[in-house]
Amino acid sequence: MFTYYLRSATHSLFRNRVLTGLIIVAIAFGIGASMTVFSVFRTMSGDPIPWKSAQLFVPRIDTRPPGKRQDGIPDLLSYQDAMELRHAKIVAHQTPLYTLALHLIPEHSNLLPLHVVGVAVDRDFFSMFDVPFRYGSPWAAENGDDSSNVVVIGKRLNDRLFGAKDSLGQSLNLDGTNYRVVGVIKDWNPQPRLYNLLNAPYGDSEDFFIPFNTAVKHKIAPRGSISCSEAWSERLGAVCTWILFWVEATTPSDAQHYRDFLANYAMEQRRLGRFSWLPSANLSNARDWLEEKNIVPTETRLSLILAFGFLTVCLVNGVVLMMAKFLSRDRETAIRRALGATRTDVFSQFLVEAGVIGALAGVLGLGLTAVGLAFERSLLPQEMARVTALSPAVIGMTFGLAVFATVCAGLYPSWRGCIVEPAVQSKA
Amino acid sequence: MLTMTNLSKVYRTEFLETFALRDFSIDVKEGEFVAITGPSGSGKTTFLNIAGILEEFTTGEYLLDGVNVRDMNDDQRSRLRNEKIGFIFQAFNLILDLSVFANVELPLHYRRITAAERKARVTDALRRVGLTARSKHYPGELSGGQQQRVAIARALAGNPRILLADEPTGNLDSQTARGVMRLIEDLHRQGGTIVLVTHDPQIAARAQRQIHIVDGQIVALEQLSRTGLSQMAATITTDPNIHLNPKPSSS
Repeated sequence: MFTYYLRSATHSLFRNRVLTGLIIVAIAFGIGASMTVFSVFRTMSGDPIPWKSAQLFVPRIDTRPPGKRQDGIPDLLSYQDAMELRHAKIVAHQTPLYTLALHLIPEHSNLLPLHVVGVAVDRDFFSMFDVPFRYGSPWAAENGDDSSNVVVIGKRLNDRLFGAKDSLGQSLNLDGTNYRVVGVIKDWNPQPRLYNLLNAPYGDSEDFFIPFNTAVKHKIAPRGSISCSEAWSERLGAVCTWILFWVEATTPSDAQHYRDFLANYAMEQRRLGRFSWLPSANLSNARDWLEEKNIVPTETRLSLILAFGFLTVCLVNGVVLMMAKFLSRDRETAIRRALGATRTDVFSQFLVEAGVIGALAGVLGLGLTAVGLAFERSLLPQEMARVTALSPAVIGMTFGLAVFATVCAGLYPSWRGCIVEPAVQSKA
Repeated sequence: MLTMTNLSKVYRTEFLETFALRDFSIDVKEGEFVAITGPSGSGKTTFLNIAGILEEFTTGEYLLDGVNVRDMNDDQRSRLRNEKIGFIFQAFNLILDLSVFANVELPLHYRRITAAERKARVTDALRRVGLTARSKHYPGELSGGQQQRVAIARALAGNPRILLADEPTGNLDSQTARGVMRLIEDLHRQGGTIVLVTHDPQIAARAQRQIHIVDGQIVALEQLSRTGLSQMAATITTDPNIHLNPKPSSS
């Protein structure tokens, strides 16, 4: 029967082409506007690893005097605190992290030196953030511990330097030091880059990853936030904050255990005379941290509300136009009812017709979303523009939303259309 | 086949009750051809709408092919209508942007019949009304008589237990009307049960039995034999337009 409804619905589209066209255009504009803004919003606010983000935590300790805490708890830890947490090893997986920018001198003389950006992490980073490997694996634990010159490189860099081939064992000259490639990751670029939200939440993924101890051994300066001067000795103290720390707590009790540990650690630091005031310690999971960082501008949230408001207005117009379309066929409905169609039959037929209209509005809406996103990209910063694309997920959502919204909008017109009495119009 | 007992249909307003049918009783036997006549506003169409389960009645009983219609819900009534009744309307009531084939096929969809069986039934129905060659045409491309034959084919395709015809020749010229009536009579001869509403006494006279309605009540009943021998009941009709002409037997 659905096939018959579908055939009738398709046939019916051509009966009143102007009215059908108006409904499709009205809904498509609403869909196009809302999905354009939603795509940007989604890129900015999405949880890149929803299956794991509730288990990843950022421990934070505020050792500043109470009078200087107006701007909230700082995200970064001092080297001393980071190393204390790391050595405590309360959880199975943890990593300190900081961003580095280095110069890569290619072995091939035909390539110019490259400016590459990476992060210094412990090997746990790769399992904590589910980083997929194309070749090799993270460096061995002993390589991290003994500050070996090893490196994991990103797909883009591997493509550029080694033509996408297996580059394991190859050497990479970073700022004059040779690093041995032990792993090449696949095309992996979560947006926003949750693990490095403070530095560059959007844009291309890192070119390389080196062991944290190796980066410290080579005194590689952090790129981005740092609360002290450039003197390396100062960076290794207890005051200068520049390291983001991540821990993975798989169960709520593990998280609570870590939270208790963190509070005790902070109090212990006070007892040791590092400061005289009560410190503040916090353990936020990745989702809460993402929310707290408020990386989505208020304007974008407002635009999203306005866009969906516009969609609602368009759908209301769609309801009115569908009502006109369906009720104009009351004679035909009466004939169908007289010939044995139940109200459910007629209702279903109208609803399928609404679905077909929604599908066409979805196709047009997709086109309008693509145009809208192209326009948005011209306005957005370059790193955001690159990732604000019409992804398969957005295409699916646009089409799904168009059909769902139109079917919902078609409920009332379909009901009104189906309650036509069979006797009313059957006599000339 | 069709039995109404003390059936009434009342239209109520705040100040007025109007009886469209009052204590209306009728029994149409299987294979009968009955004509319902009466002046405008007498209740003929109300009777046909109720008989066709297109409209509800106020009091009384109505059995269609042994099924009590009274307590059925809207969906049950639709299904019963689809299975038991074939309609032939004065205005043909074809859907203009569906082809002849699709129009005839229409009621079969609601019976959830397979595509192959639908095709076989539609083809057979169109053959019976002589419109096989027109199956791909649209109603607008056909004459009035051809459109009515499509409507008859649509009624036949469902293999109904009873055919209800409401002024089937009302919109046709006399020659075309005769053709359509011949078709209806053929259906009757093949065993079909037919109830035909008309104000045309010549059309009514071709039925086996005539029932005359005035003000929602049966006031005249003519029983005509298929052999055309004699009138079997007294004519009490008050309508001077009605002249009962017994049809000579065609058998």
